[in-house]
Amino acid sequence: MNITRAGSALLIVGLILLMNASSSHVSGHLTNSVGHLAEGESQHYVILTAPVGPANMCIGLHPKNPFASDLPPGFNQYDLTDVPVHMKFTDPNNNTIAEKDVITPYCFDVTFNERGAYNVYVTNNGNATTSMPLGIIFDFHNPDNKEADKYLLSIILTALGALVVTVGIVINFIRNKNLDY
Amino acid sequence: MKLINFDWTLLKADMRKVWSRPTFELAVGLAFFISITSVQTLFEVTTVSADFYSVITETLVRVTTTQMLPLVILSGILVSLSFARDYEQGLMQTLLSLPVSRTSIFAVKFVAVVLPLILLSWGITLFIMVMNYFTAASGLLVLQLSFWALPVTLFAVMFYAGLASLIALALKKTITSTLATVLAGFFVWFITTLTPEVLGPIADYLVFSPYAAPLWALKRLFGTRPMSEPGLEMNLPPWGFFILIIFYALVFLVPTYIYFTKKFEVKE
Repeated sequence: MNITRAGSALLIVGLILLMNASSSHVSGHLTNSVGHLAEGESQHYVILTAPVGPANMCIGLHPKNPFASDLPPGFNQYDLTDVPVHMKFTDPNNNTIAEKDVITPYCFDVTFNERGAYNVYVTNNGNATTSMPLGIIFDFHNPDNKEADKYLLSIILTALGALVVTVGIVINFIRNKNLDY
Repeated sequence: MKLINFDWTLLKADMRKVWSRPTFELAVGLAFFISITSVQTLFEVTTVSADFYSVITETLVRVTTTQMLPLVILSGILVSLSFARDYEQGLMQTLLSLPVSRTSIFAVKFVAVVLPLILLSWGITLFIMVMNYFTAASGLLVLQLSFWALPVTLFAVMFYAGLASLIALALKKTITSTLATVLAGFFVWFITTLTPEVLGPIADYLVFSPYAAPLWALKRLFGTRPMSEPGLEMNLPPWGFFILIIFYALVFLVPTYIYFTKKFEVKE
């Protein structure tokens, strides 16, 4: 396979990846709630994510569901306002980003700038059993929420592909010119 | 030692012919496009970090499933073109008159299509898996799991390539054999989409069909959660599915090889 064809394959891959990675694929409101949290008990959420940029994270925010008839029995049975909790938020390298005592619902800005598993630990400091949902809210189709590493890779591949194709064409041109003489 | 007698020059020439411009570029674009669009952005909120395994395996199965139909159709088209076009253009007669065994010619024609195709497919799968899930903690797991897409794709492609070569050698016409191969490929895929409501109880056995078996081999190997009620596929262990897909890979290939080496003649 000659250099021009290798370059064009690289260019095709780069352009397709660029198309895919240049827009946001995470959008809107996502809430997860698992089980109940007795007083003094802790819960651990894992957020497996790509570097999708800025979001708003809420501890103790009721899951959104516009269709009341679809709700399972016991859904949203706890009043999540003013529940004192201790929260800890760590990045994929286990560095603590935030750790404090807060009152639910508690929302704060986060930036997912690394690929991997972010951890959220929540301890119920109140005096009653409750559920403790974790909500993550993204802007609708915000370009800042594109996958940063994939976008960068797509630009590198496209540029490299274009460069290799150009070099291949130039080499072919020089070779053919020499053959003419 | 047959491998030593394998004609590498012939293989190189045949690969250059089969994968000439724009076949390779189109195959790269098609395989990459369908693969990348089947992968969702990694964003999961779970309660256990072990879920990373299921996220990776589900994506790998999805990518392999999405690639399967275009891949098998492409392998069928290229193999039937390789055999039938050479026959129509009179190149087959020249090839058979060369001091090269028929086994070598058959192997060259088969390998020239199948090898680059599965390497291309696996390369793209590996690239996508690494791009999406490679982190310091999960790097080795991603590489280990992605490896399994290679044998599964190889055996699936070998089945269709064997079928395509049989059709091409039987029909000996480029357009006719290509169309017949595409139709056969679509038929084998189509029957797996039929439900018990349409087909009756026999639909439960479609998990063992040549199209579904490779994908089930992968799903059973990883223990991927079934989308619907578990069926007959749970009765066969993962290695059972692998034996089945090896059988499928050889079912058309061996008779076609025997026919090509013993009976096949070029008629003027």
